[in-house]
Amino acid sequence: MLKLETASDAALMVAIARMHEPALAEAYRRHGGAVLALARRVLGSADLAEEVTQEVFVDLWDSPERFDPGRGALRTFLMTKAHGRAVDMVRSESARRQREERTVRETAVSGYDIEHQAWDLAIADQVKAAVTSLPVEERTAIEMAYFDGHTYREVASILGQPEGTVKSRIRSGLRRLRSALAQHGVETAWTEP
Amino acid sequence: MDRTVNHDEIAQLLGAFALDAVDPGEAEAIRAHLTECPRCASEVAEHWEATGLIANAGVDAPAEIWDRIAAQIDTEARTRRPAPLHLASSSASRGAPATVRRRLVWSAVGTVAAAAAVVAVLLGVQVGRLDQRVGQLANASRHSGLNQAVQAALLDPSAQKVTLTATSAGSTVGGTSLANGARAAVVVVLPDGSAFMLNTGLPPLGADRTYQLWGVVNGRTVSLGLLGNRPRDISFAVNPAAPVKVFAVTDEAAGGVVRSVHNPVAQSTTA
Repeated sequence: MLKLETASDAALMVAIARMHEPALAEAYRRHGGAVLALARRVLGSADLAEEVTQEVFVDLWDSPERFDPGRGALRTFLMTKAHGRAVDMVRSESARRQREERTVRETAVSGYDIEHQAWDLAIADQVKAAVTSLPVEERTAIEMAYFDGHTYREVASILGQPEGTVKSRIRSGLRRLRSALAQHGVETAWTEP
Repeated sequence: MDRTVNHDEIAQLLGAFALDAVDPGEAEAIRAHLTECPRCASEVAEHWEATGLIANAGVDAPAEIWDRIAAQIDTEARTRRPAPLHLASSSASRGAPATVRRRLVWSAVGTVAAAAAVVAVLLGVQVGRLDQRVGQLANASRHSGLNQAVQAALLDPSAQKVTLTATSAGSTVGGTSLANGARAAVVVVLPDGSAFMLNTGLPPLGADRTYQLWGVVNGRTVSLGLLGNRPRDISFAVNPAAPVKVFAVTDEAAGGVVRSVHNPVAQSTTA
């Protein structure tokens, strides 16, 4: 019998595909907190973030075959799904208006609060180190796009920079980030603490 | 964005795409490109790996949200009802008037003498095959490779996965209660036609009974194999060129039947 607490994510996914509900509960226990935190970060709303979290795990239950273990870790898959859903919500009309107001306020008060964006996350030291090692303009572009749900065009317009520049900064920043994380031995796969 | 954008233009957008920060038109063009460009697909996977980590805030997952998830998937299982089976008989010609069609698969055949004769011949042949098949399946089950094959199939993104839910006829099966709408089994079909059925809720039957798996192919109902009275993982094969539209499980006398007169205890839902 599968011992859920020590099972790999891949083994959990097999059990989920077999409709073994405790396996979904274990996947939620491992990754639900991170999914919720990301959704909350993007949406700025606890209620909507809970809705996204619920959707992500119900989708995992209904369509476990969409997760391709050859493509990456389960955590990565869930975070990607949650982010996509949260951004969809944020870009809906009513949310967009509020967000534009917020953006105007933020940029008016303090330019862009990069330090705040990076530091109020309770992330592992290595990840913090990797993020802060990025050139500041790459980090800014990534965080505005990822955490605030702006498109690269919007980021370009807010920062008054060419779109092509923002595009390539995001891409080179992500590459740099990944190699920094790899250097620090940070892994996306779930391991027993 | 124009579909004809080249690899380099797409590649420049991959970072922004991984952050969900491109316009819908661009996203569509990129997704299309990713299906045919492994290099770009692998770059996006790497970007996702990095973003998944920076977003990792490490808070505990609240129990209240789990309660809602659990409630929702339980409700889904209850409300998902099998689609009614209205299938043409193998003896009824294609395009027969609706009045001629019956829920036939599970009802007796043979209004046409010629068809009955064919069935009689098939009976001998197919039962023989079924017996052989049961033996093969039993061997396969004992073989450790089956479990691995099932696991690989379950995680294969190209696999078709079909849920069989209990019907009202299933509520008394095996003397055990199987709630109407409960998930009874899962069928996984790979593009090459290899297929598996996993028992997720079919209760054990008496020693003189067997479950039998059926599929509707091109309007005909065919037996896909005997599952035994305590089904576990079963492997079978379908013709990839003739997709199975509906899967169903019946409760039969041990040895199985060529045509069932019983209503299915579980069948696939239509999406």
